[in-house]
Amino acid sequence: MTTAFENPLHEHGKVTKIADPCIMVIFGATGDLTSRKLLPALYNLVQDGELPAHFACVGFARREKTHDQFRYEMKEAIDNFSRTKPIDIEIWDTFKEQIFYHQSEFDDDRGYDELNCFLSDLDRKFGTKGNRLYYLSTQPSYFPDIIGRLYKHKLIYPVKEFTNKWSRVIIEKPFGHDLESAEELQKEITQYLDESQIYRIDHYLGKETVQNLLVFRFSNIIFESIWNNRYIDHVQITVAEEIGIGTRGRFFEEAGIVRDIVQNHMMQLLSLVAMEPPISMKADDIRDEKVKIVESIRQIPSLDFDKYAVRGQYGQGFINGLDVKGYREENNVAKDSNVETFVAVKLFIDNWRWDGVPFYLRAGKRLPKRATEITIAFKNAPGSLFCAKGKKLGQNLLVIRIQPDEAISFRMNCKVPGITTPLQPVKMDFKYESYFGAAPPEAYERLICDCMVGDNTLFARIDEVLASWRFFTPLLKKWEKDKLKNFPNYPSGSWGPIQADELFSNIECQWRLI
Amino acid sequence: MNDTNAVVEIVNIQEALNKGHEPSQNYLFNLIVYSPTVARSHELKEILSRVTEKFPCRIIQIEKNNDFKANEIKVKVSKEKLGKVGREVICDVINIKVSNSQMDRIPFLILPNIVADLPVYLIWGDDPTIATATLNTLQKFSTRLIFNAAWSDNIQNFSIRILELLKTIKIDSMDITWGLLSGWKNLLSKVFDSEEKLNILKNCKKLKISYVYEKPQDEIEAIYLQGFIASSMGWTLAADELQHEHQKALCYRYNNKDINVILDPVKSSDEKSKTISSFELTAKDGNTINLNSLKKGSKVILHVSSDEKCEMPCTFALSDINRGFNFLKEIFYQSTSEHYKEMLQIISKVNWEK
Repeated sequence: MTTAFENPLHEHGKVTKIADPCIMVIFGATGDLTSRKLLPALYNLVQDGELPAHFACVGFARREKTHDQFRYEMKEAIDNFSRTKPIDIEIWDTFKEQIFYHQSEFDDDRGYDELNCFLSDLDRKFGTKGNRLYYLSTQPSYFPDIIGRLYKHKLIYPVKEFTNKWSRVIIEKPFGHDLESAEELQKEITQYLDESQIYRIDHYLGKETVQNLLVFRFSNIIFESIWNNRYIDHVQITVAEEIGIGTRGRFFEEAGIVRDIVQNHMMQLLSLVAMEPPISMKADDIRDEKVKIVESIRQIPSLDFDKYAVRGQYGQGFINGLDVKGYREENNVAKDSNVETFVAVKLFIDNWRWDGVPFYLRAGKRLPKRATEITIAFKNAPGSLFCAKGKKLGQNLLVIRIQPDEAISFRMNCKVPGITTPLQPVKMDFKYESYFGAAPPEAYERLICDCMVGDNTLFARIDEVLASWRFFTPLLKKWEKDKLKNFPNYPSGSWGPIQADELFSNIECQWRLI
Repeated sequence: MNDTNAVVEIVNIQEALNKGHEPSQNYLFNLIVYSPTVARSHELKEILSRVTEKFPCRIIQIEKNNDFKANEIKVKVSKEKLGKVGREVICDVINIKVSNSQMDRIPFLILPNIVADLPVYLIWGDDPTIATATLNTLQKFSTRLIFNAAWSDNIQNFSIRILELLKTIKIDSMDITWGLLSGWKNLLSKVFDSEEKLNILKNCKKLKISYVYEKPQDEIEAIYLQGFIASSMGWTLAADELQHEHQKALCYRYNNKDINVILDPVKSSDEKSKTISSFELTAKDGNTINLNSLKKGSKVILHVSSDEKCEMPCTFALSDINRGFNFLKEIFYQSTSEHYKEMLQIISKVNWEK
């Protein structure tokens, strides 16, 4: 980002982000992420006039390919996966001239030397001023080596030495495998990069509904004033997927669902739901508050893991009435795999606001439907005015649906018309689509654009990542040591193992049926 | 107001609105649209279609019809379903056709039919320099006033009037022409977003803005664009004169040096949009920056050159402000910007009619 320069043509109050001229180099450019997300995102940014005109994109990967082959594949990808269809040929014809391919092994120094020369040529051709955005979309084990070689070949500019050009690195999750490996990775990459150059992407943060969490909480006083342990009984966060692991068997065998979803995406959702108001909307002010939440999560006592965390693995079952195979029958999965495809956790945040309020997190593959939701369950109204003694009214529920069908709904009790007073829970519903139409920008569009602008608000900072690992690593280590004998323990198409229901200490509470 | 003689054809608006009412119907805002003539109504319909294709709202259209009998007034209520099947946007449309003499009655027809607690956007399809009681009444319960410089006969008077209004009213006001220009404003902001490029603008000797000319209103975007540059850069107006064939020349002063600005109308061609077609800047040191509109105005090609070097041309996509969401964001959500006020200050000093 250009600093200390004020553009008199920039209209104040208008949230226009001006991305710097740059070259984006995608490592692992032949992978799924590039074709499904990254190139469609770049194309949509071009279409919306958000990408700088002085821009080029270079795909870096091991396979032999010409520029034209790569362009052809990317056009197919945009055709298939772009949120705007059909592809605008005139826009594509211009954009494709800005797309290139560079073949090299990730550990081949010559490839980086050639890359350096190639990027310099592109700088001259496209006026990209030496600015570099490296997107690491490779196996995590390559991250340190790629970054080290980029530095060695002067493709990364030390922040203190260069003020007229920048280099930034977007790192895909997972950042490390546990606390130690995350610390080790951080140690390795910070030999070459300043924290301000590291953009740890969590695409959940780029979703409109996730960004709306801050707006919803901090621009509506009615909710913020009851957002505490006095009024809230518990919070549930669910990330459910009906799909299995598909072609990701090898990755999933190493990761499991805690590393794939809970440690990163769900902790981001948790911190946005629970954080205190930041002093400003600046990146570090928001991230300071988020990290306080993750650091305040009470560590689970090692002898009580089973009371606070439940793991599961899907077996054969039915999704939408169709037979599906169990996890152990999936490709590249061990027949006796002990990897979890479901997890449910109860945790507490030890601060004034949340003292005593349980947060229930669950995530799973092969659950009955795809849904990411946050449920705020409020305490019951006191007294027994409207129901028989000992019975309780239905809780007020505020449900924030992150995906799909982005929405916010509120459940309240209502009188059924008539001379008696039976109560009926009813819902007030706000659906994004009903108001703002479908097809909001993809998360990757926003995040790539933010990185070009130099805004890291929606990227995870290292202390957040480490705090999250600090919480989950003991659990993961125990699970690795203690193999479960009853795996698979839930059939595909169910809401997970029955033990997950037993996490609720209050017998009247249960997982919300989504 | 003489009620006894009014030829009133008013349906029961509430009853008509509730008929076929879908329980899940949502509204984002109220949109009141006033049109002083049938011809303007057609123009406004185009704008409305951009809004209704995307956003559920209640539209209250007021059409003054000079062919109506003196006391005639007609009200029709409909529900419009637009958009893709399964994702339709439903808008209530209350259409009020009214003769001139019945205009006083309009606020009383509108008030009970506003969806409570939602913003009220008022598109005033007339020249705001013409004072009317209806505008005064309606603006009191509006969240935002929307005018269009292109609907005014005299751009100088228009700027003076809007500047007065902005001083007195407490609500946001938006000018459609200014909103439609946002693609070019954003583009220039991007082009000059570095010390190096900004210096070329600071050293500007001559600026020529060409625009497609079909009717006198077509020049307003060009007038606005040069006013935006001049006010943003702190240029002060020294002289203005009309040249041949609608061409206008202005002289600004900056750092004790003259800057000549030429607004050049060009003939329409199928290839270009009906807006700005080129922006040609020449600096004192010989640097030039040229932006030329391509493909019906959706793309702009940038050429930067100096005596020593010539940068590779590059293409910018000009954000399509006519698309539903972009248009709405500009017109309904942007606050009245200081740049707009300062631009009006500059152009209010020029007699554009001479």
